[in-house]
Amino acid sequence: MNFNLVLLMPEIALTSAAGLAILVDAFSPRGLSRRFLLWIAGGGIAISAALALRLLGTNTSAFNGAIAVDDYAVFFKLLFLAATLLVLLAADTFMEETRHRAEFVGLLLLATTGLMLLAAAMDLITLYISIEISSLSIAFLSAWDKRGLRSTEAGLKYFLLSAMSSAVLLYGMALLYGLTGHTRLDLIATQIGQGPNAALFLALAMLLAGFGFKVSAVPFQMWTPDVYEGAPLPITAFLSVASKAAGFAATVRVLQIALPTSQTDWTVLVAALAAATMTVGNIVALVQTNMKRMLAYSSIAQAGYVLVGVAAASQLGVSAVMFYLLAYTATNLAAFIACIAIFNLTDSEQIGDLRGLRWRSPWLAFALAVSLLSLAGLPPFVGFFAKLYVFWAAADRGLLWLVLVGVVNSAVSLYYYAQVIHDMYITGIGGGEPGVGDPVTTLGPRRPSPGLSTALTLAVIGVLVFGVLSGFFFGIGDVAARTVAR
Amino acid sequence: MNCPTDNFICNPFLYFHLAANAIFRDHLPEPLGTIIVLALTVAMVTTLIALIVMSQVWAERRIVGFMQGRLGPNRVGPAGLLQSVADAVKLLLKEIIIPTQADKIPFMLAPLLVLVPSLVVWSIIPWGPGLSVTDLNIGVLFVLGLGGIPTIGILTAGWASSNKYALLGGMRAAAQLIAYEIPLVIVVLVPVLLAGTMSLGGIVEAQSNLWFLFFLPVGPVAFLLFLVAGIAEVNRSPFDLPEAESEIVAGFHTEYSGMPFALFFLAEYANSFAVSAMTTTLFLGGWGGPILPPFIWFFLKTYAVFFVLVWIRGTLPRLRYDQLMRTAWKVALPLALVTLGVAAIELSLIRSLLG
Amino acid sequence: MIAPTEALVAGSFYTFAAIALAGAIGVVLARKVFHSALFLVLTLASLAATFVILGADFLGAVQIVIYVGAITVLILFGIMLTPRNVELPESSGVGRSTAGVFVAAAVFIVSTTVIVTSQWPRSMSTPIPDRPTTEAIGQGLFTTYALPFEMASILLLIAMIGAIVIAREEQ
Repeated sequence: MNFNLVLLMPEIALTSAAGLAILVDAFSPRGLSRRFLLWIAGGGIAISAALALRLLGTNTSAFNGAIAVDDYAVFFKLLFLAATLLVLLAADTFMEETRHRAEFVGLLLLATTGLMLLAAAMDLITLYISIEISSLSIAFLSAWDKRGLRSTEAGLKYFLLSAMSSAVLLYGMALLYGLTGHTRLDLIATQIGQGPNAALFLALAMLLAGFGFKVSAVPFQMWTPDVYEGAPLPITAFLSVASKAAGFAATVRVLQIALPTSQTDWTVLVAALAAATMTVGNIVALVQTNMKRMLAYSSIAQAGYVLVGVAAASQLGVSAVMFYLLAYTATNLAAFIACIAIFNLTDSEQIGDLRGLRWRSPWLAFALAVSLLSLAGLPPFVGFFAKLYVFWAAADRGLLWLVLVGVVNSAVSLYYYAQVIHDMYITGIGGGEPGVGDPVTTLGPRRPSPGLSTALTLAVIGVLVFGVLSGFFFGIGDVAARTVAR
Repeated sequence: MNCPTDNFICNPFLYFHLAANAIFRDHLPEPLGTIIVLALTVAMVTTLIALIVMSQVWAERRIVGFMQGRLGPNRVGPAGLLQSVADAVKLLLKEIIIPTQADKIPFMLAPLLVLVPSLVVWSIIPWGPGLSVTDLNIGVLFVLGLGGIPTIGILTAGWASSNKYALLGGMRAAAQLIAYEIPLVIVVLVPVLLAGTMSLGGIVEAQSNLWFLFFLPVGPVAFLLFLVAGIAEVNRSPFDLPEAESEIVAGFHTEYSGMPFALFFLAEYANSFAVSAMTTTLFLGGWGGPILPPFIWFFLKTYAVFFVLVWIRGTLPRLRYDQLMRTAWKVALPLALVTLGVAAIELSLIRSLLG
Repeated sequence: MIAPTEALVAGSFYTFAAIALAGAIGVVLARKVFHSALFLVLTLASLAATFVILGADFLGAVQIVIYVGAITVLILFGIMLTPRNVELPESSGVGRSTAGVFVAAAVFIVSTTVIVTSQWPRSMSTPIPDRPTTEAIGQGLFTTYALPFEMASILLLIAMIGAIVIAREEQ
């Protein structure tokens, strides 16, 4: 029995920060100020990150095998903490307008705790509960803007569909438990016999369906556009990066540790999911006119590229997945935070209303352009290297057709990303100079807050630095990947 | 100085059981004999409960009468003892009226949903050493579970009657039951903790030296909390908001008449008596006591608790709705949690001191 | 006490399984939401009975306390707070209900086939443990499964905070 609490300190620190924020707010007569809450949350995140860093290289399992404390988990924990910090900074304006700020911050921190545990889960029970922790808090956070009907709809939709997917996931886990008599991933692997087994295949399919919901892979993506559109934008950003990355972290761990013997089965399934996800996401994104929905479909397509790396099923594949998620987190956060700032200025979510943005606020236009180009996978941005590694890993395993599908999809995606950039930089009313009817110049009451600017700057720096130093960061992922991949 | 359990006077039920076994189980093929013996046991318990309820109704009306300076029923039979029988006959003979707008099947189902669980509770309450229909090792949990089902019946009655007052009564009942179930469950854990078992028989035996009521300081607090939450659970005065006649006619059973009404009535008293019996079992040492036969002790204590319930009813006015909710969430719940915590700490201290 | 004979166990299992199924079908087919909720009570209570038959007495009782006693009461409470006599729409198009039936049948056929044809490591006729499970569950929760247990409490905390925030009136 290993009850070494040191191994759990990052999560404990974050949970304590959440509790502190909520309790201090409840007992202070006028409620806490936004600044104070940010200090508590930021402090919690910093302490948690420091404690997580100390666990690097520990590579053990804790609490009777319930969670793993390996470099793979620590990598993802740091990623989630960084993403949460940026989301909190970006939520500046939103928090100013909403009530229950302390609870908002608290639930966001608890959601992050759930994601951190999900990335570390080594046992089906822990895995399931951490999925529920994150899903439930995200559902509440999506519905936070109670005056907006769409926010409520987003929360309800996310809640119902995540409950549905949890049921499927649980059924898969039950089959796995029935087949092996264990809930621990490493013990499951020892009990699974060789050879075809219909129940195992069904369990695998159901697990993939459950995780597919979390990472919004086609055909489990239906909720994505509506929830992304309806939820408060900071939460959408959180959902699109941290929640998705945690879903992938858990998928890879379960597939690599518990089910290595049925690798041929899941390679086929995941490759099919990847091809479908990339294609559907990109094609539907082509016709979107709403920026949020466009980014939603774009994030579906991005999940497809990550799945290519998962299908590669090698150490190279795992490290490619990790690097892709790092790149995607920085890039997508930059895109969403830029959108928050732009929507605050224009009060419109239509892509067409971005016309002439470069005159109105050149810095926001630049940030959005960089992140979109990175999402499209153009060098020298980080998105290019991320795709390169993922495709390389797939090609290495002989999945050439999948690489081909991916490359074609990248080309297709360039069209809609470039469309936005074209609107911002080239199209202007009257052929260039800002005119009277230009949407961006006529509106614009709210300038970006300091927190929002900081978050955007950090995210864009991330996109640029990760791109320039891609070899270094890929190397970090490669070392960490060794703890789960064989 | 205890009554030997194989003595006829001390434990007549044992002899009934032996006789039933000798008649049926020895002569009939196996599942059949067992089933007949079980059915007989159930029939006996149910009949006893019906008799007990009659005695309770009489006792309550007489006692409340005296408390209010009047005589209460005293015409039918000696001292009015047969009044309840007359009432029962009258109710049985009355027409069953089902409102045209009512949802008929749930309407008729509701009284059963309320009554049956309160009868089933009696199958595990021990009347003497080893003297219960069955002694479950999760007895306490079982009783708590059964305690939640009548709520569904009351809600169903309120909804199916198609009557505003009934609906209001049903809603009040549900809110009240949910609110008081939580402190009740928590405080029940105190005797469970002290006895180290969830079996009702085991809890009674654990009190052979000291009633849990006297386990200071938590015993009296837990006892009072249990009694209060228990009264709230069975909707007795002063927690009878679901049927507050001055506000919502008769609450959830406004539209009921004849036999279905009689079932609600029966259930109400069976529930009150079950709460008294549970109080006895959990805090007052159950059937334990010197000289007298155990089942006599059990009924003596239970009737004593029931007298307290009647006394409370005769004394206290009905709570207002907000007072009811405030009491549950802001007083009873924290107090119950503290009691449980103190009990756990005290117990572990005692254990470590005694080695 | 009666010794649970093989026939008695099998008989009660099939009885309660049939009741649970009937209740589940009732939940789907009932036209009034309130009736659906009552059928749900039936299903959940029968499931509790099957738990007990399978030797999980503690789980059976907990199922009654939580699902029958608390959750369905909340559901019924919620139904009563919604306008009266809300009937479910006739059907949301023939196509959709056909699709529903088709999917349900497919899931049923696939899972049954898989369950029947697969090689399960443990025999299905494991003798039912004849001892209380309460203590073992308590031990497990505080040793082997301490972490999931604590995580579940975080989950409940989240549910509580979220529910209060969502339900609270905006001023």
